Amino acid sequence: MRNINGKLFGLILTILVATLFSAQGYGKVYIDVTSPGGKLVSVALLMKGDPDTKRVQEVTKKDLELYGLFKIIDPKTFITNRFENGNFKDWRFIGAEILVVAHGGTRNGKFSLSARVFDVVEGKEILARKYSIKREAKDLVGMRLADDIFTAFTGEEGIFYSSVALSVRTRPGIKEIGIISPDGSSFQLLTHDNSINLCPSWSPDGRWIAYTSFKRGEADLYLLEVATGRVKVLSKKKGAEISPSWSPDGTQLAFSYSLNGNSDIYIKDLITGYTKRITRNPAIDTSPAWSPDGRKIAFVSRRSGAPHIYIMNPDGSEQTRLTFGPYEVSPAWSPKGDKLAYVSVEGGKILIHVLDMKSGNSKVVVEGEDPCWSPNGRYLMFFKGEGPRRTLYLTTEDGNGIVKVRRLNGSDPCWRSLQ
Amino acid sequence: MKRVAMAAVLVLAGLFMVSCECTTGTCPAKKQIPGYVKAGEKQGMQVAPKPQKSEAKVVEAPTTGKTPYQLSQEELERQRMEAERRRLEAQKAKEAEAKAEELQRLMELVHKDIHFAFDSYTLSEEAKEILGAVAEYLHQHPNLSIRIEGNCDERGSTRYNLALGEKRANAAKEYLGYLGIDPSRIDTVSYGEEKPLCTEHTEECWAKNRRDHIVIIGE
Repeated sequence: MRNINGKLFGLILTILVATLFSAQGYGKVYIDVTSPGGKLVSVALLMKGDPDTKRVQEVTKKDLELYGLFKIIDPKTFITNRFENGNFKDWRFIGAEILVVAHGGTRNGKFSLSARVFDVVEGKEILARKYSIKREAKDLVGMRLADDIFTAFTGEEGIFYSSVALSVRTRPGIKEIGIISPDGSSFQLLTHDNSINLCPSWSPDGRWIAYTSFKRGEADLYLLEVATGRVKVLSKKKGAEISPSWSPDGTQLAFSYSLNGNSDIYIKDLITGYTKRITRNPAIDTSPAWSPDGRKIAFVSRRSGAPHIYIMNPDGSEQTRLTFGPYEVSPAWSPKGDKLAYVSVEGGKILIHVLDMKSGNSKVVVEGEDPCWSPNGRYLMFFKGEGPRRTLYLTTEDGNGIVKVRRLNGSDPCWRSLQ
Repeated sequence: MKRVAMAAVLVLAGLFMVSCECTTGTCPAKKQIPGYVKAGEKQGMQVAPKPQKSEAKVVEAPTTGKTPYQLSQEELERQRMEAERRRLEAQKAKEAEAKAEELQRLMELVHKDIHFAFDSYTLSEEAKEILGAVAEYLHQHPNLSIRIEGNCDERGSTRYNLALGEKRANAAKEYLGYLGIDPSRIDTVSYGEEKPLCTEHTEECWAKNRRDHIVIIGE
């Protein structure tokens, strides 16, 4: 379960990206990420260099495929292995719509890659970039290149040059906090407490992960500084403190706290250290989720006899019920705050829904639980299955193109937002 | 348990010393102690056909010089004290073991889990019966405290299930309070869906996992 080959994440090692050329506008933007399920765009990857470059090419290929919008052309069908400026004929012939020409290699422990991206249909260059990073983190170049290609053709932020925090079952009854690259290629445990560690939540600046741990015997809140591994106690009251959620400005943390068996929602001010109670209800109130504009908190309440999603102002006023099924939990705001994902449970059937906040319409997206939005709001990561079959998946917000990220017995994924 | 182990080490060490002495050729200690014992033996072995000279000498020793006799007395006293100490320690260890066994037996008695329906923390009649037995046991053992651990099946979110487990543990605590048990003797914790008893994904298994588990945490 250790971090493979010492690969680290974007938050620890920074990638140097030099933009040599970027087309004005997006040229012909022919990928509409809002209408998936259409024809996949064909990409020819012409990447040359040492074995490290081959490895990076594999990562680029995998991540482009995970986007669910691209189809990578088999290099065996290439007519030529060279690209001469202005000559798109051979590439059009094999059906390529995007051509990526790159060469890379490792020198003095540093991996560098120069890449040019062409719109084959239009016959023009879209992007030219040079990436360099410590050799052991070279996979990040592949992730970043895939993200840049995605951005160049959709106008949206990429999703793979990031990291997802989650809770992972390492042994029966034991869960630790870990981080995984969104393409599943690297995974690393951040805690080794031999306890139950749950509900990781990235701080908006991506520096901290707030989480719940039982390491003192009952549920308390902790803060973990990701770059150093340093852990601070955030709250260790008698009773259970769970489910932290950051305010978008990073100054407050909503969580649920139960002293005599009934959890209610509280907010801790991280500057003054003062904690105030937000809900007072004899039924369960838990799972707070702060809206991206900071003006609302969605949460789960059992006040009408079963768990449903509610919404309120951060001062506890205007508590309103949002969902009316038999059982709904796990509210998760889209990064723009226009949608709310949640999970319904009916018998053994567990479904992820997305509620449009403007229209109030809700639709089933996919079978699964623990939804978590990509920072660009176009994808959802989620878990499905139980025990050894449990797997982390990625899908578009419409539930199209479900792809497997990694088999992992875990819960509570939380995507680090872009900076 | 530590004491028992220490006593065992002492006994072994003693044996080791004795055997050491036996291997050394001259063995001055051997001359004294066996000599004393043999003096006693001699009384019952009058018929010994041909007592050796050296033996006669040893027999004489107590009467002629006092020192060896006194040393033997002291040694004997020390040995008796040592034996008594060991006996007391063994007794203590035995008592502790019996106590632990009794505790274990009682734990099993009240170890019956309380089960709940899906998304419910209402106590069933069966649950109340089990809690009745627990209350009786706690009345009989006023020094003991318990911890009630609330658990859920795997359906629903980890967060909601942690909150639901709190409700389940507290429902049992409240009922015990109603039966006259001081709440300060009852600790509660919820493990949500994190500690399943049964790991299959069937209704039968889920039913086993929706439970309050009671643990005796001692005096």
